[in-house]
Amino acid sequence: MTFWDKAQNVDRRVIYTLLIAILAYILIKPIGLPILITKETKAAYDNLDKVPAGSIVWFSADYGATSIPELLPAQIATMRHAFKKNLRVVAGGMWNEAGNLADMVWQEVKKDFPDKKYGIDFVNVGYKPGGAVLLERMVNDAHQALLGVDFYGTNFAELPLMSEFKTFRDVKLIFEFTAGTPGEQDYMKMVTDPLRIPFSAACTAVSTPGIKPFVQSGQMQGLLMGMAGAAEYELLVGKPGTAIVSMDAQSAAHLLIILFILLGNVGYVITRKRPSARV
Amino acid sequence: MRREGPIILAGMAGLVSIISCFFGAPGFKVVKDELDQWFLIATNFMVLVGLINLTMIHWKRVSQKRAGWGYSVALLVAAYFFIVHGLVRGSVGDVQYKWMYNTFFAPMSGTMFSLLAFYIASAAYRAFRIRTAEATLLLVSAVLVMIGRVPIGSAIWDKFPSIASWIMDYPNNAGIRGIQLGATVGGMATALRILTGIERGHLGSDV
Amino acid sequence: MFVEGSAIQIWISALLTLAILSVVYKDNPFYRFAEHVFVGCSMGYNVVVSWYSYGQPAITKSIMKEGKWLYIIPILLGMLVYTRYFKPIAWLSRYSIAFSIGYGSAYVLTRDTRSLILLPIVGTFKPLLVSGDIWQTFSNWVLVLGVVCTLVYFFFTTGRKGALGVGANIGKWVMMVALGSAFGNTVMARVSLFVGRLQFLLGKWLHVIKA
Repeated sequence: MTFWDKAQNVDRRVIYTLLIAILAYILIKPIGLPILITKETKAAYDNLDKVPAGSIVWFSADYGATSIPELLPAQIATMRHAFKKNLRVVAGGMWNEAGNLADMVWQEVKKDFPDKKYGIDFVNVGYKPGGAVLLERMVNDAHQALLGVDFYGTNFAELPLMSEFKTFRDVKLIFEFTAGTPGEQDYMKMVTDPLRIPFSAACTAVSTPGIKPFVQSGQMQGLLMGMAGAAEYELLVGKPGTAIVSMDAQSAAHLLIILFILLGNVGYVITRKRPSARV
Repeated sequence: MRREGPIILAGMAGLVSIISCFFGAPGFKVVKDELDQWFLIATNFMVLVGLINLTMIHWKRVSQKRAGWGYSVALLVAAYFFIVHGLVRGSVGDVQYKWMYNTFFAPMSGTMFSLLAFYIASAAYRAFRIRTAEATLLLVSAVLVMIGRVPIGSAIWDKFPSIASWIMDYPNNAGIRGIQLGATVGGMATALRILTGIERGHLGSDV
Repeated sequence: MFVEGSAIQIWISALLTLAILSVVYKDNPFYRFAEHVFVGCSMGYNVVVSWYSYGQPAITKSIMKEGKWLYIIPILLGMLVYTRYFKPIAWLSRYSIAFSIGYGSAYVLTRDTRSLILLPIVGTFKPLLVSGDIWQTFSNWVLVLGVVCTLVYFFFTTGRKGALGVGANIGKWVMMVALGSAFGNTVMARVSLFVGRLQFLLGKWLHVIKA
């Protein structure tokens, strides 16, 4: 076996070991590569930034714990931005874990905004089933659609913010954190396209190709694409978090995978051109 | 009623929604709003199907002491402990229940999917070969996006980010939009087939 | 004990994380155990969340407090699905499924057209001549031609001859680029997930990096 034959058949455990070692090393000793802000992230930032102070915004956590590394930092950064702008946030979602995730964000962000009070500046309505049908119902009667209780079991009557959030028409912007279905398409179909409510989103990198066409068509104003998008938003908000810290490791992993792909292909091309042995 | 009933119900339920969309008569709207609420409630009460199936499969494994039955015990204990604990605590937002979610569910969920990082690295290395022109184009596009979307791309060459951005903005949007348009029309055709009773696969094999 | 960020929480999470990651080396009892516990937790959590998010409020609030007794009908309709476990009356479960799928299908018919067909098509109408900007003109051609040719690629009812053949070929190339970018983004997503877990292990558990 020549070197180029071996290059096409590196043991998977070597790849795994290198991946773990390099990522761990870079996390321990980050390089500090500069992060460029994409136009999509800037558009999402500007979309939230121009919402008037005191307005109500809806944050939808349509993802699970599997997407926490990509979307939780984005949700934390956008919540910080919203509170800096004195916006009032109602959080919920169409996925099971929406309530827990919104709670994680609230527990993290309220440390920096001790004046923000639950029930006045922020309400977590948690997960409600139904997907598109839920959103349709919320366009007309959010309290009825949400059955009048929040994630913690508190009645809406005890939450002053909910007296002003009766339907989606009371919301000045929808920011969705999406990892799949139900997700952004349901919002566009039921809420943002019919009512023309400004709509931005943060998505997992794997969803980015499918969502970008909607940004291009103007149906969404801005998109945080994966962990890179979350890192960019953290930079814009001025409070570094887990996303920024991870980007160097992300870079290293990409480079490693690309090098292995190139190695395999160079080996393939060279061995393919080799004349076959004659017997 | 075993065959025709469900088909008629599906059609009628859908018809109310369709009529209220095109005709704004107040009566229809009230009925539709009520049916929306019924849909939300009905679908919520179907959630136990997964739990029952899982319990049946794993209980059988335990009672027959099949290979790996110990793991089935762990599964059933975990499932019912989470349920009983949640019902006792009175709310999903309860401090203890949140602790259970953050300690057990969230880390395991995240780690399960993080295994994909290894598999995709290995799969990309092994399977991505430039055997044809199409495969080469796919590979070039993938590599350019991978390098352009992370900070090291701009550190190597300042044009990488804009190349990746252009690929995402134009060819990606074009290809994906074409696929999405086709898929949407296909989905609408399937929906029409379901409402008219032509498509019955969801009702079982003997309908 | 039930304090967020407590040592016991971090240690349990870390050990479960390592148990699952151990499968990368090879399948082993620790992984199998953690995998089964995860499936169990997931199912239990889903049931509890569904109950408190909509089940319990529907019964205690809407029906008992607000007197909306009609809601008993959808509750019973939803619960009909469980008749599938009893062979003589298993056919009743079709009503539950028919209602939810039929109702959902109507939404597809009435709502998809504007947001998933019309507005994207409008977004595709880009100027094919941008004066003074050759690159933008070229890019717009890529977009418009790309969408049209991708759609042509999926015409299976006619033969791929002449213009349709050329269009389908262009569509194929456009899709190769799109799928390549999709793959690149998929790699990015998967790596992010592992970086997140590694951050937890090195930060919150081992305190080697700032958590």
